[in-house]
Amino acid sequence: MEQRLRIEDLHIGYTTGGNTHTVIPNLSFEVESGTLISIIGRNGSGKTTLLQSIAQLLAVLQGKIYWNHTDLKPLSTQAKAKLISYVGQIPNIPPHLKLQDLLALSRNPYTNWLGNLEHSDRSQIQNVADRLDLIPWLDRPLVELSAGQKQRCLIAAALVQDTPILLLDEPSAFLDLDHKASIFKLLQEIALKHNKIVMLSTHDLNPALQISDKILLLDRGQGTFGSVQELVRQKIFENIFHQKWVGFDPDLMQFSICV
Amino acid sequence: MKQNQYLLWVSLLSGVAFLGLLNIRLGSEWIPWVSFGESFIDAENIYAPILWEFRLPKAFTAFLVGGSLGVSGLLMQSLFRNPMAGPFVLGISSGASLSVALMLMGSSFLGTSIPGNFGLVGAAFLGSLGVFSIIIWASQRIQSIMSLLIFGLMFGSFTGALVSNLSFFSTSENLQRYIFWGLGNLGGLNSQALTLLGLGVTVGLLLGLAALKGLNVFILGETYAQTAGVELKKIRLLAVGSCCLLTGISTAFVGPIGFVGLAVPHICRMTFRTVDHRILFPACFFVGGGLLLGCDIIAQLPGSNYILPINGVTSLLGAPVVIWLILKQRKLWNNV
Repeated sequence: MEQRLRIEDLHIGYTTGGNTHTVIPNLSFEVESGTLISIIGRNGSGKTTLLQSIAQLLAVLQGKIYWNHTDLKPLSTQAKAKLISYVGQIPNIPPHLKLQDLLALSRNPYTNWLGNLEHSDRSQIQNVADRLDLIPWLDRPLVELSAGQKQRCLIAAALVQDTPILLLDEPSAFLDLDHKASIFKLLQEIALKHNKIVMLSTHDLNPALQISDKILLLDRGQGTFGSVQELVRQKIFENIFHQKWVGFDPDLMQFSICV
Repeated sequence: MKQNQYLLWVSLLSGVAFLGLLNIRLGSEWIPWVSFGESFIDAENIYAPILWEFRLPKAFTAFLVGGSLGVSGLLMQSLFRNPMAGPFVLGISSGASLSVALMLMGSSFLGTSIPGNFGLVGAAFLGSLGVFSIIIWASQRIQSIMSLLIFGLMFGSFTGALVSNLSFFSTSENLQRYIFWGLGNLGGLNSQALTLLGLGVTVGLLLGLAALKGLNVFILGETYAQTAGVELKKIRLLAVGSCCLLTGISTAFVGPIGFVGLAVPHICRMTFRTVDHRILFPACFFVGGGLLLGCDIIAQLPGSNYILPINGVTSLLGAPVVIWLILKQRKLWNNV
């Protein structure tokens, strides 16, 4: 059965000191499992706010988020953690914490009150580590790894959490081109082979257009959702950035800096 | 568990047991090894009264209080994700001090009567509870951990100033009682008080146990913990309740004991080389208990008729240990 995430008339933003600040009013879209969606837009356009709202880290101002026919809001934290995993900015990692410890912590929604691992948890960890070629790193402290390696480990942790929806906030930031490519490739594979919904925000526009099944463009409080081709036809990419600085070539489907 | 972990545990537990025995044996009067075993079973033995009425209750108090402070330091450092957190730094002990000072020294102009020992215990407990609630309230509003620490330090200075002013107007007799309370005293708990302490510590430890799984995830930050299915409010409440009970009841019965709460978690993290609370929690309890038993042995100045205040010994002994560990490892808890 096709599973889907449905965003219905969502108003997102935040409340500070009693004042509500709406970042994007009225956002609706629907995605099926096996889809990779990139959220793009300028700084401050609401990409992180949207991801955090879907991840239930931020309260939505209005509207609903459904997984199939289940409204996510009333679910327990644990039930949500079995549906959505979230990879944010790389957190501060204490010394002594090894990759295998991180992966064990990610089984949190499934373990008993002390967090002891069962056989199924261990095999899930082994499988993911094997798939992502992380077996040799399992016993290494995370602080010793580079940013790109840490990012890979965090994605592994999200996979160990075993959720149908995977949200990632700028997974390619601070990485060199090599690592960017490998992370994007990995995420594409996760969506396709493991039939998950992978939703990521990014400023790496060209790779995003290359690998994404769908694009959600956030611009000046408005969200436009569609396949890359659909958005190209709507000539929407030309207007995101200042045309004096950034150009878009619809044939190559590429952004470039005007020099 | 790895083999060296076993070894660590065996040496830790036997070390604590040894310190416990030594603590009971040594004092102004040394109980000879020959009579030592006998005095446990034979009530007629001349050392039996010393053992049962003074030494054993004091050793139990030292162990329970040291363990409680160690565990509560661990919970606070994880909760605030701050290596500087501890019952003293965040002002928990000052809260207890303030309310004890109010009870003892404020009685003249508040018109209250001077309370008995249990009254003091209640006051100290309520004092720590009050400060802890304020700190938790503040931690929801103050995002920066540094600001929160400054908040705690300011609170400590504020209560310190209030206590100074109170003591200025106090009678010398009440002032003396307050000062003696502040120096810490592990002795003098009767069986009733010991039962109450034991009960409080047990409940506090159980609350802490229930928070362990969440705290393990919590070390990676709130966002990560929440998306991994940790109910932040529940964990915070459990950990805070546990800290408050453990610190509150310990301070109430024996006075504010410095240093143990801050140092023990670091000693445990560095020796066990882990951030897993399922290991650190019992480790902090036993190391804390052992540390205070050891400090108490020194405070007794075995063989002499003098007893040093316990607070005068804990830091004197503990600070060099932590400094040595830092120099050896060159990092306490980096990235936090």
